[in-house]
Amino acid sequence: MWDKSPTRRIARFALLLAAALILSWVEAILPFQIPVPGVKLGFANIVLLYVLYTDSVPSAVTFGILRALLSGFFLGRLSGIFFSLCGTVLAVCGMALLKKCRCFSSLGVSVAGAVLHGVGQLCAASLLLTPAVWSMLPLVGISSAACGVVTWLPLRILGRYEGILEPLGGKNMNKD
Amino acid sequence: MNQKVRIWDFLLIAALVAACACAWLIPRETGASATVSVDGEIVAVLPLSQEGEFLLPMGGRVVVRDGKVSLCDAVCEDKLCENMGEISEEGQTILCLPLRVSVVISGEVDAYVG
Amino acid sequence: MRMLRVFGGMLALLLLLASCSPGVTVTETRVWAYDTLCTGKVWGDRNYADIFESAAVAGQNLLSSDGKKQFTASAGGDSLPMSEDLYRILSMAQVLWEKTDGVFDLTVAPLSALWDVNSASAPPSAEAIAETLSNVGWDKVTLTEESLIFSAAGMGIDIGSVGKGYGADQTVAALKKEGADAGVISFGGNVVTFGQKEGGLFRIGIRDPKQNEGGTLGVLTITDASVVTSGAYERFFEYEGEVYHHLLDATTGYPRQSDLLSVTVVSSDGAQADLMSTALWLMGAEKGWQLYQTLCRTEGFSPAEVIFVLQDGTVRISDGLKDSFALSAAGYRMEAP
Repeated sequence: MWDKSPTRRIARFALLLAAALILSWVEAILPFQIPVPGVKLGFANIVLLYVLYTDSVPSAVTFGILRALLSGFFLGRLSGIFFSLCGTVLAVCGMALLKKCRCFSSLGVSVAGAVLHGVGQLCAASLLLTPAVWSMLPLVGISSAACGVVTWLPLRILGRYEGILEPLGGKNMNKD
Repeated sequence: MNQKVRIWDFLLIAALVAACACAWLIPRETGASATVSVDGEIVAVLPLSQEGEFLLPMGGRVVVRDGKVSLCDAVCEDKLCENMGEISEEGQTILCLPLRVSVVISGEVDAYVG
Repeated sequence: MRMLRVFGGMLALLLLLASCSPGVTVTETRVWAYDTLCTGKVWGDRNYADIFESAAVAGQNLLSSDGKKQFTASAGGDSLPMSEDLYRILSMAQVLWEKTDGVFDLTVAPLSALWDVNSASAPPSAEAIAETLSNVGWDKVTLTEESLIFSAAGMGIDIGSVGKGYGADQTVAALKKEGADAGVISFGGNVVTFGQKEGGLFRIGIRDPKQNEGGTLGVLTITDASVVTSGAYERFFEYEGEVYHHLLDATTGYPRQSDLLSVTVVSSDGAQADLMSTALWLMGAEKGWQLYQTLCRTEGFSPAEVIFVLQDGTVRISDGLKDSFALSAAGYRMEAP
């Protein structure tokens, strides 16, 4: 009952969004970066995945778009917003589909999301810049996949302390 | 969320990686020229056969040396484009997302018209 | 274990795919014909140099069995005998003459000879032009399936450039008949491609009309088509600061002013592509585009695609080429659809 309260749900959404933005910022000030354009570790993806698993798909899509927009503004990467949006939308939609088909655990979903994020960015770049960017697909895809595994790990650990941020009490949310 | 990792996860990952890696199997020829574009508009075409460099309008240089192309002194915040090193094969690309600069290697053409 | 097997299977499949390309002979050959260098690169199970050379030379006999490119009437009523192919080509030229209001005219030959742009250093006198112009005009010839009849002595036609397009098509037909898999041949800049090589389609470079030193405007990635480009930049001379080029207006007798830098035509018919590229260039960007769209619906013309390069650097391209043409020169921009 308490879980379904809209106020609580909004507050929780906002809290998670703030967490994702902080993670984006932390990632931006890290002294090292993935040496492939468009590919990031994607700490914020941890939170996105968490929202996807503990809230609804529409929430996750909204979350992804808001996070892309806000981190673009906050981190002063205005030029990157379109790329980031394309990547996020493709990633969230793909992850939602994969999660629906119930064959894959959060690992598969996380990695697929990361790869799709890279593919989405390439789509944007091929539209805005040149179609030749597709030659970078192997590099972008494989390094994204690796990042997908890395960001899945904290989520796995988080799963053990489910009580800290208890999920919204849906029926199928956290059973499997 | 603490579901068990299944074989399908690994198959999915393998399939994704394999799909991306397939692009590496396409045979690549040595390139003939480098096309420099800003915001999708071509600003320069540099032949790989001769040493040369092109000053980007927003700062930074595209340098051709020994038939290889690299981006130097980029003015973007992440400098990833510089880290991409030198490219020389057909289809290879240097990309700078913040500056919207792309450098693409084109191959030799089979014939000229006219 | 199961995963290992799956991986093994994938790997085996990839190796199989990579190894199933059979031995292919690539023949590179060249021959002098049509007063120009004719080059060919042919992929197939054997060496095709002999076929290429004999077909290229044989294709020169479009006008007469001795390989002549020009025909000049020595008296009124003189006629040029027709072959089926020549009739088809001249019929297209006749349609183009009608649709360009006489600006494009294959009987411009005496005038071209007078101007002789290749070796001239000064334009001919106005009187000479006016005099020669009286011997020019498709309205003064009669085309039938048997012959082309000229009404006056001194009239004539020159099928030099159409002949190249025709000959290249004939050569490709001969190569295909002998079992060649793929090839790209160029008869002095008239390019024909067929089949697919190991890397896929062919990359055909289109010259940058603003650069004399062979810059590339863009690259067409195609096959099974003839590609021909016309532009004033190809042959010209300068006299007292004026540029005189080889694309003459048959109604005035002088080089035609056009707002086009070049016109490229892609078609399955090389002779048609050659005729069209010249006629479209003469018409200019607006009228030329209208003419192109008319010709798409005209009987006797094969489907064709075009690339117009305007003086202001705009590149206008027909829908069929949108995905196969990539600009590769600075200073040009694709026209928004």
